Amino acid sequence: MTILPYLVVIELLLVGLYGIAGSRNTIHLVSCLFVAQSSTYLLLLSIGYVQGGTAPITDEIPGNARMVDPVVQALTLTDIVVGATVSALLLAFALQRYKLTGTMDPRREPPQRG
Amino acid sequence: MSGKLRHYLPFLLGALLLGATLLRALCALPPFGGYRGAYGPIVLNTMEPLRHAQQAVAAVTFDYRGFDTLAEEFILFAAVAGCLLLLRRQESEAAHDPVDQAGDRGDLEPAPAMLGLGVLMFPFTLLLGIYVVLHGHLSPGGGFQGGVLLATAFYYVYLSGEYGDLLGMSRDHAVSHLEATGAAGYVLVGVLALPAGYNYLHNLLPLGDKGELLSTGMLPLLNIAVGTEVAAAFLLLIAAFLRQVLVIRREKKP
Repeated sequence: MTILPYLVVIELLLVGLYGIAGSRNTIHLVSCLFVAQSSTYLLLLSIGYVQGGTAPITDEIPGNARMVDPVVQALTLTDIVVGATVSALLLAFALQRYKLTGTMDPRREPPQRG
Repeated sequence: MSGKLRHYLPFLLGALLLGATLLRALCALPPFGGYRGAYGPIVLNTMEPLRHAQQAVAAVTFDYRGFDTLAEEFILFAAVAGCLLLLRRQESEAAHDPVDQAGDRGDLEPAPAMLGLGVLMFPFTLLLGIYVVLHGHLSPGGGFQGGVLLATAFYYVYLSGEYGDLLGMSRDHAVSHLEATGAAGYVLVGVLALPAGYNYLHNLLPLGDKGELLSTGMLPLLNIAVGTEVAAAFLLLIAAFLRQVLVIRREKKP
């Protein structure tokens, strides 16, 4: 099953999107966004995998060993950092919206005014 | 019936479009395990001769793509600054003394087991965080991962003690100075090369011996800068969210 990792990526993305679409709670919505985003971590790592490869750390590894792609791993690191901080920012927004409107349900909140 | 169909039509159209796009993307992906990227092998072949580096991910993050990581660090900085701006005390609110949310339990002392665990875990997590930051160019880890670990150490203080204990350790101005120092440190390490006539982030330090703590030039310095910033940022974040729960109350209308 060489396609299995990619199917899991799609499953995570769809589960996250389903949660976002049907969300009745802003905190739940941010969590679902994080689930959807975690599919991108898996996608990047799956793409960078090389059959039989080891971690790209050359210490005490024979010179001809296969290694997985370090560039996509560095991209995944960036992805995780940005995802975590943006989630914190969204949660801060959710908290202040709740204080203003008294509801966590994104469907019942009155429209934003500038 | 037709009303129901009209209700679901946008969903069906969107789902079809999404499904078709995903299927097309899936077909264009390289087979699992068979990726032959252009840049990965270049990094793996050049990092030892050029940089004496052994950890390819750290070499990519802080050297080959060092300039991008500068931007990444400032995304983190801006997001945390935005959080703190949003979570400051509003005009309609007032700061009170911290209130115990479970008031019915009275003045319970923290359980000795929790206290002991906190006393045990705090120094070890702190040490582990420092280790992961300092060895980021040798082993898996680095500034981002180690910084989160460093911040976690201070969460043990809150979990095993009281809110006031954490407050004493994370005096806001000191920690925010630390965060700014970390962010500025990355910029300054890069700027050092400019007066000498080199590009931004050009390596000026000796490369050292492969596998040594002091090696790969400026990589450990950048790791320390990022680690400081990430640790301070996460400490500020948790302090801001806790303040929302425990200290800030809506001012009652007279």
